[in-house]
Amino acid sequence: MTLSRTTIIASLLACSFSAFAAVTEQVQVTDGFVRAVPPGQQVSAAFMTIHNDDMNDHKVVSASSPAAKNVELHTHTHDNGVMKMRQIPEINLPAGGDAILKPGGLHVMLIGLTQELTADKPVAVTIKFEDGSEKALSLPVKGMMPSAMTAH
Amino acid sequence: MVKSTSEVLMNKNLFLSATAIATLGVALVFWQPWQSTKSHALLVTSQAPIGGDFTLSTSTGKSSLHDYAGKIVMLYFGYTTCPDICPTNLSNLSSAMSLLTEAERQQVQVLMITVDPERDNNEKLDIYLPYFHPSFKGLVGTPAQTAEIAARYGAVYQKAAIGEGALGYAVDHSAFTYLIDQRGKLITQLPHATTGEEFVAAIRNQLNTH
Repeated sequence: MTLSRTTIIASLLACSFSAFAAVTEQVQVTDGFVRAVPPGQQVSAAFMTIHNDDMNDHKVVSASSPAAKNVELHTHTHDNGVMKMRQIPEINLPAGGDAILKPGGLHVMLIGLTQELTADKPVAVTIKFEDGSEKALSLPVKGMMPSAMTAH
Repeated sequence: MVKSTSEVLMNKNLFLSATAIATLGVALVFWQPWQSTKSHALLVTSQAPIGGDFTLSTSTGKSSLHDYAGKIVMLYFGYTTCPDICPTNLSNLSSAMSLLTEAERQQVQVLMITVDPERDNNEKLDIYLPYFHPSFKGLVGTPAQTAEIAARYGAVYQKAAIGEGALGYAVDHSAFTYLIDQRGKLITQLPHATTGEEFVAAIRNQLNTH
């Protein structure tokens, strides 16, 4: 009886080991990039796919970057043909699923750019999760028109 | 004829959007005559916006729609601090330009009217638009001129606070690209995120029917 209880507790601990890991260790970021912008532009946005490996939901609660004075989490809603951009407090990362940050939808907004965004200089962006853990990213700068860019 | 049509449209618009207009800083036509399905084959119906000529300022003086008679005009309402939506559409229009043949390209003009005349000016537009394509031109009007033209094209926009960031405010706006034929007639509108290939198809379709 005692033995089996110990076994159960031990296996529960093993199973729930991930619950003790920082959120950042259970989250993977892929396909990240920052949008190249015209010279003199004050704003840009970072896009990425955030995958949550964990069996629990998590969330991104903030983001920061030395490339901008203010970094905010935003989304767009498409309301009868009108695109509305709004700041949001968090981005949900569903258990075992993805949050997809892409043009026209969720994005990390960079406001008040402090550096020129050029293709040869990756942008540092750090995203912070609800447990306070962080993931530091180095995102390439990409234009939105590959065919036009290569043509010139 | 034109006047009575616009009066009918205006009455309908006011009726449909009485509550919306009450809350809008800029009261405009809040009515979508065409559904924004992702298709480039949307045709103007009898209920379509009337479109029509306009004259606004550029860095080299006044510019009117009728200055581009003989060309297809792709008209967009946007603003330079638009972080995502405008760059997406302008980039796709840029892709379309590079997909067209030189001869076709000569028959197309992309124009953007700023919906943020308080912050945008000709100087800013002259930096912003050529980034996407050297032939793209930006136009600035007074707030009243801009509202009047947008209403005729069925474009809507309003300022929106977006938190405490340095940006101050964003402008919610409809993100259609209006295809205007070689004689200045509004033919169709293409929805947000129309691809370069879809723009090309719509442009070629118009070139072929001309």
